[in-house]
Amino acid sequence: MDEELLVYEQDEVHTIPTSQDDLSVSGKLRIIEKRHGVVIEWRYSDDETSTDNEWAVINTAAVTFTHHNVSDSVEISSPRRTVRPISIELVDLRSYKICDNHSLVLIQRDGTTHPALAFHSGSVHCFVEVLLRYVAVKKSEKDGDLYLVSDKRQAAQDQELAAMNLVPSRYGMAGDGGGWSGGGPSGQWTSTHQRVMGFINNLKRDPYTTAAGALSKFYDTVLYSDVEGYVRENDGGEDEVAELFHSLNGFEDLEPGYELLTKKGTLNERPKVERLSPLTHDDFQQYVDDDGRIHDVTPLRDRIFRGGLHPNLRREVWCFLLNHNEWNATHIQREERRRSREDLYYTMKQQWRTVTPDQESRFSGFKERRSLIEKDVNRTDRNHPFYEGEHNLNVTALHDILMTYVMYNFDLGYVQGMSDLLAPILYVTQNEPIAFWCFVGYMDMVYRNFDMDQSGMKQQLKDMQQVVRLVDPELMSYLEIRDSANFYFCFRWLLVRFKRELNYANTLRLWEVLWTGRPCPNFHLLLAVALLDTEKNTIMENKFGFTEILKHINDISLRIDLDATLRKAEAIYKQIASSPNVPDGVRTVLGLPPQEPQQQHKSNKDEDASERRGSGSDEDVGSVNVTEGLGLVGVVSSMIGSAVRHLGGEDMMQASLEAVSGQQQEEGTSHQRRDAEAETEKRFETALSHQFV
Amino acid sequence: MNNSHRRQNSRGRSTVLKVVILGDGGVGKSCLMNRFVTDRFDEHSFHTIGVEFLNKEIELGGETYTLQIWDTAGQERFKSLRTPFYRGSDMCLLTYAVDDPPSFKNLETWRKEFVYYADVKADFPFLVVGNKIDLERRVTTEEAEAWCKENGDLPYIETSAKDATNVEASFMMCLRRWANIEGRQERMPMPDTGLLGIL
Repeated sequence: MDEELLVYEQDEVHTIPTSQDDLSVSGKLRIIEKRHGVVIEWRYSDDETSTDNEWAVINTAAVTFTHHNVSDSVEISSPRRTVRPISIELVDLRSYKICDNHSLVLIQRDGTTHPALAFHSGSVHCFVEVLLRYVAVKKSEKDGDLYLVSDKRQAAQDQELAAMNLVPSRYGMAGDGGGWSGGGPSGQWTSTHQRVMGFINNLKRDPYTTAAGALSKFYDTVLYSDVEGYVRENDGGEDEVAELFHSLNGFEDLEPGYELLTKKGTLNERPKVERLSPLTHDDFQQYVDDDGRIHDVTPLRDRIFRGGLHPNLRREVWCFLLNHNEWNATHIQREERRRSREDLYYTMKQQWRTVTPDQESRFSGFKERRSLIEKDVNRTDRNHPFYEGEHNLNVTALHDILMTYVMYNFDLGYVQGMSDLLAPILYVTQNEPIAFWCFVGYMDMVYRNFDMDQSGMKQQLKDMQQVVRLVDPELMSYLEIRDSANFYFCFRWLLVRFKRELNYANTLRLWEVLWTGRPCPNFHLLLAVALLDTEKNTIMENKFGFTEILKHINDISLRIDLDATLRKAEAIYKQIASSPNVPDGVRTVLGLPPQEPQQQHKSNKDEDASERRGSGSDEDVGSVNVTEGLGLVGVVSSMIGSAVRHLGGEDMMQASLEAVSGQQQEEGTSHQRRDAEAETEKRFETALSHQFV
Repeated sequence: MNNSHRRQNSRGRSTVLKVVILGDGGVGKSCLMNRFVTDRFDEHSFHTIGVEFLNKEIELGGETYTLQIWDTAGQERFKSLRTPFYRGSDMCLLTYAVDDPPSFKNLETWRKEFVYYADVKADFPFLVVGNKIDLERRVTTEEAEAWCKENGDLPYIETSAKDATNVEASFMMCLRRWANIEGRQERMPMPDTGLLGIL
């Protein structure tokens, strides 16, 4: 211990609650020089004496809730994840974020993203000052909050990259603040032009070596450089490159599935979107006539979409949204339906309750399901006050409803994830038969998530590809290069509709918004796209690969700003809906009518594009968009990608990936390891994409 | 503290090894991983959806290894989205719960699924883990050992993630087995006395 040197210590550094009823935990932030290296630590303030009780400290600080009484409109949510102490070796620190000048998020090389820390005393800048004694830091150009940590070794590599000189990189510009400068736009363009032409000639002469070599060179350069900014400053350059692309005789015929969207095909501006406060009881009454009928469902759905429901209205209105109640029924009809459905529920419940152990011994399908349900209800939301404690009757009800659902739909049975979908419904309705029928209504919307062959989930991941390719081609290119275009990291988001990512209050809010079916089908996919848009800079600037992205995405669970994400998702919808040249694949996903033919004939170039689109499959998974955001980088990487796919197929791709992975030494693993990983991930993607077909 | 065995050399020297934990739903895969990595146990922790992984550094014979431990959803339904992650594995923990005979019976299925999709060599470092020995036992140690013997003499260990019994030991055991197999293969071109010395 005497070999350790404490170089920085700050009290009252708090975790930031993810919602108003979450807990903020106070701790000490330290930087310590240890024998094997410098370590950043954050520990609970009252954790000085006992290190064994690290976890207990937070668990005992539970907030008391008034639960079992939803009609009193107490929105409760519990801290479902205990806050862990932080200990990071400085060599593992990849970057950090400073938001609003006072909160700090530490991000590790492996993608681990720690909870935000707020400085209630002292300042984050003092911390950074000490940090700078040990590492070099550069501010991200794309995300003003993000700071990338590098050591001397990395800085040296940056120099090497600049020396490759494939495309202009800001590291080549001595004393330059970041943008492209010197030589004048036209002069620089000519040299880029020459380089591109040179590349194309090489590609024709020796496609294998050229493509593999360029892809590997390109790899990190793409991620470091500010080429997009450069292209924007040199207006017209992009079109010129697009023309170059066209001029390659027969190039576009190599891959009929590939399409080229020119600058004019990019999306319109993303509009600003406002949301409203939740619908209150009084608001709701205006939609209901004296007999209890709701005639005008459309504006009511619109209104619920825009602001959600006040908690004391949920119990009533969820029954409509989940098809337990019919909108256009009177109070009396509704009561009749409720009673008959209650009877039906208890009939089905009796069916499984009367299966004897002897019967069960010859009924393995039933036995397996019962066993898994028992295991899963015991680990569903057990930190929530409604489900906590031993012998909790609500857990029993959860079990009974799921067992009855097995009898109701034996073909589907019980699949993991269903208990997550049911638990909030039972909490809101507080009535077993009603919860059952509401759950049936929810399952009718999402049953394809639980397909035996998982084709519903695969379809959604594939739809994600299409939408991201349209909305953010730059991110899509990045994910492709990093073998992450399978979007597998969104799996949990989609399977249980973000339930594991949000606290209870936010889960309830999100679900009722999604159930309105507004503004389009599959709106949950746009929510996922919006979340990725928010995380894009962190993913790309940190140069995360598949495993790091997966880890980062898992780590931001419970730290999502739902309101902002809903606004962004709707804005993306409006952006797509108002834009011309949206591929039909995306239109289908979002329920937009097919593109009208005259929209495609504005210019010759557009005509070319549309012809290609017509001849290709409407599943434009393999399409290449050369859009504004992508710029030169996109053009060249598209060319490489197409050439590689066409000329060499799998082997070629493998060779390129190996070349690529050789560049990743600084990621901290050996060449051999990296190759193996690249291969694994590649095969994973291939495997998935084969399944998609 | 658990961190006392952390590497002394800087990043870049430690070898990353991919470990896959398999077994039926509810046998304690995530709990084993969390106990090993964070020394923490939560009886009511969520069942895993999709895949998760945690890294843990571990030292053996003066070498530091980063175990990248992959934990997947155990239900049959998720097979097609789970199996792509088997590729590139360095070792595999086949897990069952000693209070759950069907989970023991299914070890065979898990082993086959892994071998098929991971495409591994015959002498791949498997470890069979009987978890939940804090609960009333319905599978005997003898039964489990017999199964292991019949299936290529696989090593066997019994654990309790709840009581922290044998959890670190099981990962260590698996790593030793990996090093042993690896050492055998590499002895010809490059003898690794450092590793062999401790085995």
